[in-house]
Amino acid sequence: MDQSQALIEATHVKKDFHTGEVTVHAVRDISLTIGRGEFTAIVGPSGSGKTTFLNLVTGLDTPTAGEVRLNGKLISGMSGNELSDFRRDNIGFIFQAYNLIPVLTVEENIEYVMMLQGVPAEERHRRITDILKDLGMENYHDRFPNKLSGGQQQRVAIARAMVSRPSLILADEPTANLDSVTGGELLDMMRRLNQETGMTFVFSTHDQHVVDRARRIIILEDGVNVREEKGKG
Amino acid sequence: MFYIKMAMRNIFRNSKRTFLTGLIIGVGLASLMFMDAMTVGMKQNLIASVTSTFLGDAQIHAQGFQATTNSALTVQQAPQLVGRLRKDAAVRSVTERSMSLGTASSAAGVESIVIYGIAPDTESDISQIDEALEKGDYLETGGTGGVLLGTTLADRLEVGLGDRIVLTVSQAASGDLSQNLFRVRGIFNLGIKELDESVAFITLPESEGMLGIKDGIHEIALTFHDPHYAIEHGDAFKERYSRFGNVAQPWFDLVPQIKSVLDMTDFAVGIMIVIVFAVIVFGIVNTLFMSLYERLFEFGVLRAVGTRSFRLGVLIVTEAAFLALYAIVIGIVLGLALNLFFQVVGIDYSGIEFAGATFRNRIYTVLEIRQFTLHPLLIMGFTVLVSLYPARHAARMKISRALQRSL
Repeated sequence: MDQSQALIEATHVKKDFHTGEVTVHAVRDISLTIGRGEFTAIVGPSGSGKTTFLNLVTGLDTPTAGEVRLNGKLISGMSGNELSDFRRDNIGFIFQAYNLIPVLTVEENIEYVMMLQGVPAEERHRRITDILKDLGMENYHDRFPNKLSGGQQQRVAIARAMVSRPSLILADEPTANLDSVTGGELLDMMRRLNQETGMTFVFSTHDQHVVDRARRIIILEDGVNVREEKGKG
Repeated sequence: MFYIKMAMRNIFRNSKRTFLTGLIIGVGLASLMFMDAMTVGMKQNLIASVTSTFLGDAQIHAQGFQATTNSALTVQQAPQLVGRLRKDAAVRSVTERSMSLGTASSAAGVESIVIYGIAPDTESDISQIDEALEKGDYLETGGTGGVLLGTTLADRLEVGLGDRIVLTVSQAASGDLSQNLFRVRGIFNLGIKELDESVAFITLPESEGMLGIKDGIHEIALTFHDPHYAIEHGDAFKERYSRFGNVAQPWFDLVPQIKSVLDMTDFAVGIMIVIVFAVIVFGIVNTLFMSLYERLFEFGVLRAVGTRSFRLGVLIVTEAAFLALYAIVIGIVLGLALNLFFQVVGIDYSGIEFAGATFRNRIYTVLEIRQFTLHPLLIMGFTVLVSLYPARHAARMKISRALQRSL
């Protein structure tokens, strides 16, 4: 892959956890590159290191050894505030349990990251209107999360992740709490948005529906990326 | 603004817990307000018990008189001094007294006593002798031959109204004994042991005559318009009137043990306030930590999407400030109700002796501005201060650990 097209570059990344005298090698040695605009699934059994690896990629944790570059920037050397700003501007998160802020309305949840970015109010509202319309949620802007179904909450979570226009969307088991029809609809929606916007989507998943839609599948086992497959998506 | 909105809504996410915490802090604040108001009331009552019974807010004597009770040591330039005091805007009333050691004899026995010569009209503005009469009448200006005795003294002398007693004193200049026959005109009960068992009051001219100190007095007693004047401006008063060989003393110099008791009371109340504050502070920290651990994942999400640790800390401190504000409203309502109730009803300590003084009236709470400003501000300040601990904890948490359930 042309290095200028690489969004994530992980080089011999390792991560150990120490519990008392026991050391757990959560990530033993992962080297991989994910390009811009990819729609990639990282799969593997529990304990394979998916979560830890994604934490390292997004700067939520620091590697014991190795380097992680995102958008060409070495993130393992950044300070706390630099990492916060970097995540704010470059990464959108979609969590398994949606994890919208319960005291904020749909509109406010989506607005939050843009507010952190310093996007002017008028522009924020324009983007919120557009994305809610795009996701079929335009009539729910003033609802609080507890008044929405799981599928609707996950749509809002997608809107929140995308509205700040990050280069990477990281989705952790985004369909795990949804029925297969709703989950399938959301995956199709994300695939469409990936094609329309060119944003990179990386999924951590066990769900075959996600795997079926991915264009690239990275398989982890015991903290190592053992192989890759080309997806059907 | 966004964080204020979030903090406000977060406070009422768990409205039951917020109410209970607010109630705990509010009750703490109300108890602080009550303690303060009751202490002020108790101090005022104690000071009034001491000063209004007989002492006055301040006194002036000739230098050396109090140590020796030498009848020859009369107040210097007394008429000018009294005139000046009567023109002093801070002074409400002034009276002149003579004082000598002597004996009172009846058919039943002899008692060593202190004989005060008083000016009946002005004395009634200073002391409560007239109000404390259980039997008989008060002395009259220009009247002669009448004496007022305390209940205990009358019992010891076995005399009643109209009975005759002989008062004996040493004359100031010669030391010769001087005796006069008096009839018991009134029997008083001032509630102060020393006054009730060993004091007799006669008119000032008769006393001056017996002592041979024509127009001489031993004591000027006075009261101020403002009951706090002696404490706040006592030193200035002393400086102003301690002249010509006289010594001016506010009440706390005359009965220093009361001042010590008041200082000790302030100290004890201070300790109680610290304890109440400690309880409040632990309540706040507990609530904030409970809320923090409950929302750990949410904080992880906020941090993950780019919220700086400082902003997260600000959110928690803002929530604590709103919690304090809520509690302060509850506390002020409770405290005001409690203080207003006891301002009307009071607590009956009358007749109880404390530090050598007897409470003459019920103790009523005294409302002061600081109870509604200083104490709530302290609660707010402490709350914000202690919230820095959970705020720091949240700001420094490991995001990956907070998000462990998901990513």
